[in-house]
Amino acid sequence: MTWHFAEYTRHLQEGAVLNVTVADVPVALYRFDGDIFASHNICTHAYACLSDGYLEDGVIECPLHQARFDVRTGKVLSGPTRIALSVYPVKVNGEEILVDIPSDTVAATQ
Amino acid sequence: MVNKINERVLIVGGGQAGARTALALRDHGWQGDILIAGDETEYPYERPPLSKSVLMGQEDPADATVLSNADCISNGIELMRGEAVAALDLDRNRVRMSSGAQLGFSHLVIATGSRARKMSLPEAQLDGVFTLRTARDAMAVRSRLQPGVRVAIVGGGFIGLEVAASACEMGCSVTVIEVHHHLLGRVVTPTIAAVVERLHLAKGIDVRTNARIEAIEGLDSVRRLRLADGSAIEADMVIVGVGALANDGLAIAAGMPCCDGILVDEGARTSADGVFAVGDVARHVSLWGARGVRLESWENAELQSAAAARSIMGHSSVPGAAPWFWTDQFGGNLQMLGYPNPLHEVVVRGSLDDDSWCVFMLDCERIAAAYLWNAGRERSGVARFMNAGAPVSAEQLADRERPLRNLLKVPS
Repeated sequence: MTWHFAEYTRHLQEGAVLNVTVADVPVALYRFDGDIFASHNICTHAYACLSDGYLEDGVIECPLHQARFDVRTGKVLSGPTRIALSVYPVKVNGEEILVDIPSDTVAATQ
Repeated sequence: MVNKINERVLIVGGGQAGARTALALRDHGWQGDILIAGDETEYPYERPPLSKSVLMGQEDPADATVLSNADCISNGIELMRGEAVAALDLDRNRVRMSSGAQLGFSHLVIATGSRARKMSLPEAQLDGVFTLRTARDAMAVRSRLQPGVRVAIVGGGFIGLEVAASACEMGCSVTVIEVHHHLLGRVVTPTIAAVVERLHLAKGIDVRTNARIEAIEGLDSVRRLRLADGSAIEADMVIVGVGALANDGLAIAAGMPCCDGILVDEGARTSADGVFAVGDVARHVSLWGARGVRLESWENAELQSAAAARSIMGHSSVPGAAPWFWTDQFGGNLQMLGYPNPLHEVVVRGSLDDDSWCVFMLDCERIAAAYLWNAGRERSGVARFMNAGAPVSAEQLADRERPLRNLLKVPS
């Protein structure tokens, strides 16, 4: 595992989604019920940033065509795609949010 | 309900609605056979990308497949591609294929979709004149969209404008010809149409409104369009986007009540026992307070196929929701909910000159229609509020100090 620094916890409010770049990969950070989750930030359906979408009860809804994903698992709940969202392990080290981006994902975006 | 194993749902039409009906039936635990017969040779696919990413070469139609061969195998769905149904025999619970073969069913789902309306001019048969409905249509148009090609689009509706934007992005020189006095005639307000028109004008598209085509000229292939005011538009190709008609011919021939679409209730049931209709071919007798509504939309294909599956399984229907539709042009995303009515009060939240805004149509403090420009994150909250029929004032909606999500909380 390779943990990358993503953001400071104080910048991610409860119920919010944040757009960050981690190891050149666009990542969305989510915080709800006190827990933090991370996924790829681009919808699996069309080019749209999930960080512009709406987070509710652990579900992110894409702003473009309303695909809905469970941010804990990446599973598609409804919408015009059947491709699951890539989700990444998260750990909090003091004030720092760390995200594990698989090395093949990093390589694919370079 | 546990159905008999020897029952068979026959789905006529292999588009999004037909395929989604099959998948929804398996999700609900349907044990019997499921057979789809569709006249297209492709695996069932969604059509929204055809006018956009497919025309621009970013995607192929197969990228929007909703039912692959693997899906068929894992769900026990039999798919007959390139097989048209010639007639329905509802008395004997069977259909006749154009090959002459007969297929029996216990339940029939008609999902034959719609077809592009053609221009009535005889010259509309010339080479270089296209409509856009199928994957094949899209690939034929795409092969001609080269830089410098002069493209004339007949009809300034959603298909016409999406194709215009795609052709422009591909370097073509584009003219849009619309017979009404503004674009997107019946579906948006004149001010919203003006926003869309400005977007197209800014990209160099020649937009002609109040323009009627008198003739298409050319010998073998199209050369120009002659307008009623005497002007001419030189064109290497013409794409006609003047609406669609329901493919309800099989149902009419079988004596079912149709009115540009097979009449269905909220459970996608037709007047014939055990016969359902879904997608573009179905006309809702009543939907979200409106009568006689036929929707050519991605959402309708999803929801109505789910409704048909529930009905077939004997589950109760869920009430219809405010229809939702989207269009993408030049990177802008417009989403629409509900039914516009020129008599309703129009409330603008934000400025129509901004990159993002919302427009609401209010009917006695109820939101009858909403337009979201690059504001899709508000859609589910607005839709929920509209479907609950909750009241809100024009002043509250226009107040940008208060987030919409807070304002539009549905009272529980």
